[in-house]
Amino acid sequence: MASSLEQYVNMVQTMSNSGNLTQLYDFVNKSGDMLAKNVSHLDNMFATLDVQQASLGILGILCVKYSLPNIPDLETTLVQTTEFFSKCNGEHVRFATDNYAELCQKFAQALIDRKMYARGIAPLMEAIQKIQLHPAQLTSIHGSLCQLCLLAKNMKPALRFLDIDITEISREGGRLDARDYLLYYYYGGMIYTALKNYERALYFFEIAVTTPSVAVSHIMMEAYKKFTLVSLILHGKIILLPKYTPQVLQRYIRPLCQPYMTLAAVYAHNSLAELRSTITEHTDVFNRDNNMGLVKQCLTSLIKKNIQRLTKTFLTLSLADMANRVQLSGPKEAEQYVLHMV
Amino acid sequence: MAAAVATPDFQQLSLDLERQELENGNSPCTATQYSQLLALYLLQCDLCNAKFLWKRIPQTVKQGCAELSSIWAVGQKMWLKDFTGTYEALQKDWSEDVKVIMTSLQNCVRKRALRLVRLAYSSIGADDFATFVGMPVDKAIQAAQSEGWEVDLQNRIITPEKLEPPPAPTIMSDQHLSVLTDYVTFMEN
Repeated sequence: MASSLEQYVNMVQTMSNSGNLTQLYDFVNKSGDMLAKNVSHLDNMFATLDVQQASLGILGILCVKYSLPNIPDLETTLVQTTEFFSKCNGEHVRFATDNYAELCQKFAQALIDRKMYARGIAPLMEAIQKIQLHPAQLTSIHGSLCQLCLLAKNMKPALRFLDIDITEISREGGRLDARDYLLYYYYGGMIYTALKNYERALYFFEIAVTTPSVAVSHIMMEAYKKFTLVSLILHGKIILLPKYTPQVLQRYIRPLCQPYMTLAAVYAHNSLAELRSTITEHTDVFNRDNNMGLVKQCLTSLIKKNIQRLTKTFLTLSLADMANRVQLSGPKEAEQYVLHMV
Repeated sequence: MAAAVATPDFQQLSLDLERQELENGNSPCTATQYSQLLALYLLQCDLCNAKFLWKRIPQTVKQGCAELSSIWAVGQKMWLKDFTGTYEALQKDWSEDVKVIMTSLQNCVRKRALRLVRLAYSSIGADDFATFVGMPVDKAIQAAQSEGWEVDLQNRIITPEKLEPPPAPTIMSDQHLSVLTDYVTFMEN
């Protein structure tokens, strides 16, 4: 048993030093079973292999560790993974993008299962920077990073990646699929909404919703619900989606979001009382979808929209009159709203 | 950290504190670090991030540090745009770590209130103005006069001065013209 491990270490070191990285990648993949049988010795191998020199070998070992049903000694594994991300050789790991992405995904999942969200943010940021060919390249790690940021309630780190417009998607050996893409834009939109950057949030949700598709995706549906709410808050109506929006949205997703469509229709009537009653009617649905906060912001935005519409009719209007027309409680409240809108 | 607070390079301090928080991962930062970062977010008027910071500070740290709750109380008033409440909440004995930041915050809030009054009101009663700037009425009148605003002492009405719109861009200098010429010749080739 030990000899096959020694053989593994030797092969890794020779191939890394000679630069046969594609062969090494194949070898590491084939050695998966062998490594899984020698779980107890894996930690010793960390001492022998240097992270910088033999990144692919270490990557193989870590992948095997996470794929075990009960990860032995999780704490050490997490520390080893964090260290790997900060010290690994970017050139080497680019030969094994799928294993790398797999590792990141398992790492994030392990942290989420144990509610240790904040711990994963810095390592995943480093992981992305190591593997990206250029800053505008999307990887499957982006989605996991955004998810951790949302769960940890620390939005700022993700902004560094979200603010750059994506121009290329990394294939990751065929591993990256639509789910990662949709999740990135959905979570990204949520982060921007949380920071009240509604313009950019709307843009992100629109990208998620206009992804070419023939099947219904729940992620797309949730993105569509948030899209309608943010659109109401920002523009006072649901903005038209572009012509390349997939048919599946119109046919299947819209009917599934009936409460939101009703809300938008009532919003267009400009009546605060009607809107309030619609919200109470569908409170369960909104709470279940965790969209109640956005719905309440829609209410405030309707008041502001009504005040702005008054400027089209009146040149000067007393605060008491304004309060009456917009159905507010009194001139003081009207004054507050107008001040906030300056 | 104390030295960094003495010289007000708040931008750099907030970046350092954020990085520190990420490096700590799951283990919480000290109450001082949280207090400083929270106060800095308020100073930068970044209320969303302040709110999330408050949400993610562990309960144990919140209970152990009363000053943290006082700083957040200021933040709550700022969120509701309640100027009177903000000034009240700012009237506390702050510790050395956050004193400089909170004093700057108070000046900042005052400036913002002045700007708002200037934009929104063509004339405002002296009492209302005093609530906006959080000063007793006579001091508020003095402040308005020092800004160069008209004050009608008898009726106690203050007329803020309208801000000049930013000056229109001046006619192009030779440098601008040469840069533009370069662009055009490049694109024509």
